[in-house]
Amino acid sequence: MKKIILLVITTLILCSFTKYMGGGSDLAIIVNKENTVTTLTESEVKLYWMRKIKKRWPDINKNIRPADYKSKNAAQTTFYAKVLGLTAVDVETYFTQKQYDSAEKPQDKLASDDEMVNFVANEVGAIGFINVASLSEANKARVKVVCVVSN
Amino acid sequence: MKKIKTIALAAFLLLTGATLMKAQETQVKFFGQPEFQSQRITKSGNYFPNPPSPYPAWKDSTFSDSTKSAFAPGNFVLFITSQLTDRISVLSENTANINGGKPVFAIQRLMARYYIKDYFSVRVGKMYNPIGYWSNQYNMGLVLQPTIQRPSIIRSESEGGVLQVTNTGAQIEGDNISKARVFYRVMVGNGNGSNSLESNLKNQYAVTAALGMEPVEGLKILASAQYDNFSAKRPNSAGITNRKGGTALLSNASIVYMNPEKKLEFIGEYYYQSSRFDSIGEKSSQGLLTYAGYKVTNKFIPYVQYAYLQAGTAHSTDFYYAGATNGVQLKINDITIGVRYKFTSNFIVKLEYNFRQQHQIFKDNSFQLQNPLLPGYIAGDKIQTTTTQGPRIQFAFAF
Repeated sequence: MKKIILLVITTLILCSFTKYMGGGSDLAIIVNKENTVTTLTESEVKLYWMRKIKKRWPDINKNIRPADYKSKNAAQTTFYAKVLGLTAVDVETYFTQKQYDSAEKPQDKLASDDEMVNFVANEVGAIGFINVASLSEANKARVKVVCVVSN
Repeated sequence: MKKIKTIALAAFLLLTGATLMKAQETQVKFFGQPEFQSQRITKSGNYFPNPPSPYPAWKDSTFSDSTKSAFAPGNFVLFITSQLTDRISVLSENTANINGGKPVFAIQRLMARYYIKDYFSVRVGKMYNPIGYWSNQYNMGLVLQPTIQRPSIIRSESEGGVLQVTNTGAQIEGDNISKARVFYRVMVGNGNGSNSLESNLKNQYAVTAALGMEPVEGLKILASAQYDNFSAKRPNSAGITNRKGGTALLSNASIVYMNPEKKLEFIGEYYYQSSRFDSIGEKSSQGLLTYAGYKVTNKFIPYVQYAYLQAGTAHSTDFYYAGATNGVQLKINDITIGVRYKFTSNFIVKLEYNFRQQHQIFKDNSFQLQNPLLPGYIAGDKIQTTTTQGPRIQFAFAF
């Protein structure tokens, strides 16, 4: 009986720890390799990703294309809360309002980390985010990390 | 054989459409906003009966009290945007509704936008007239609008308001200029009631301009104005025609604080319109709207809205104003208390209680209600008051 209780407690602790590790991973802000921007602060990331001040990247003169995930995940939760300071509902409303007002294209929504990396690697004006833990060495070579948001 | 051909053609069109949509990054959105409304309407006044006047007779009394309620489908909106190139985007907004049992379709907007710089872009087509804040932010897609209905002062001419909500023409615009984030819009358009070669007889246009800034995130300070030049016999959107030509100047000042990161939201706007027609002289209307909401949580937002409108002054009435006929001054006080609950960004329920009081002031010498030459005449302005109050609920969604 003692063994079973010990096993249950150990499993629970491990599960919590794993969950904490997964949700608590740092966030990498990524842009296309051709983008001349090398580093961005978190507040600059917010301005570019929401296309608040600029609609196009300086130097490369390409449309800023914010990339997002289709469904809720740990990276998105961290990005919305820590970088944007907004809820998911606020982010959706913000882009719908922009689209409604000026025909501005809303953020591109991607299904997985691989799609996120592919999109940013292929779109010169793209800016996206991904958990550092999910960014493999092969993917790191395809995009440029301009900011790391610690969790 | 015919069936196969039809199916093949439909499949071809669908595939072509899908390919084009993908290539041009076309996005289609639908907005729906069904609502239920219950109203108690009370009419009262100080008019003394003077038969055989065709108008209903009353004297300091309530002469009509009725209650009505109904479900309404609201506008069904088809909203399409497409990014044609890196710099060119197009937008189309169409509405369908049922009016008097008949379907009504309308093209609300149809425009192309060419982006050159952040401080310089061009739009052409039919678009929202760049007057004020509310009218450009919230229109057909009511999931975005904080309240169920537009405030009285910014109702469109077709709804008895002063505002020309949409205009057809060309607009230059710019945003985020300097640290104060200055923005501007300048539009040259057909103006009120002029939407064809036939109605714009003397090639006269309306010029609309807006200048504002956003010095702090979410705080917008804006001034805008429209100068409209009417040809003789050109009607406004409400169908009111003047025998001779004239001009109308609508000016606005707005202060807005709408920051999704903050709990308090506020919109305050003031409008003043003066019109001058050779046949009837100078007339004016003015109004204001205020809205304040407080986010108790991110989903639950109670709010209050107040609107005041005065068409005409003590000694003159505004012929141009669609809601007031000549010889009648109009005053409206409109207060709404409500809550909205955001289930998601695409499904919002709003529940309101609205109280609206409208005074129609008939000038003593207008002959409209009481003939001073007949017995029973009482000197002084005649006031008819219509009070409308009741709850309403709206289910606004987008998909």
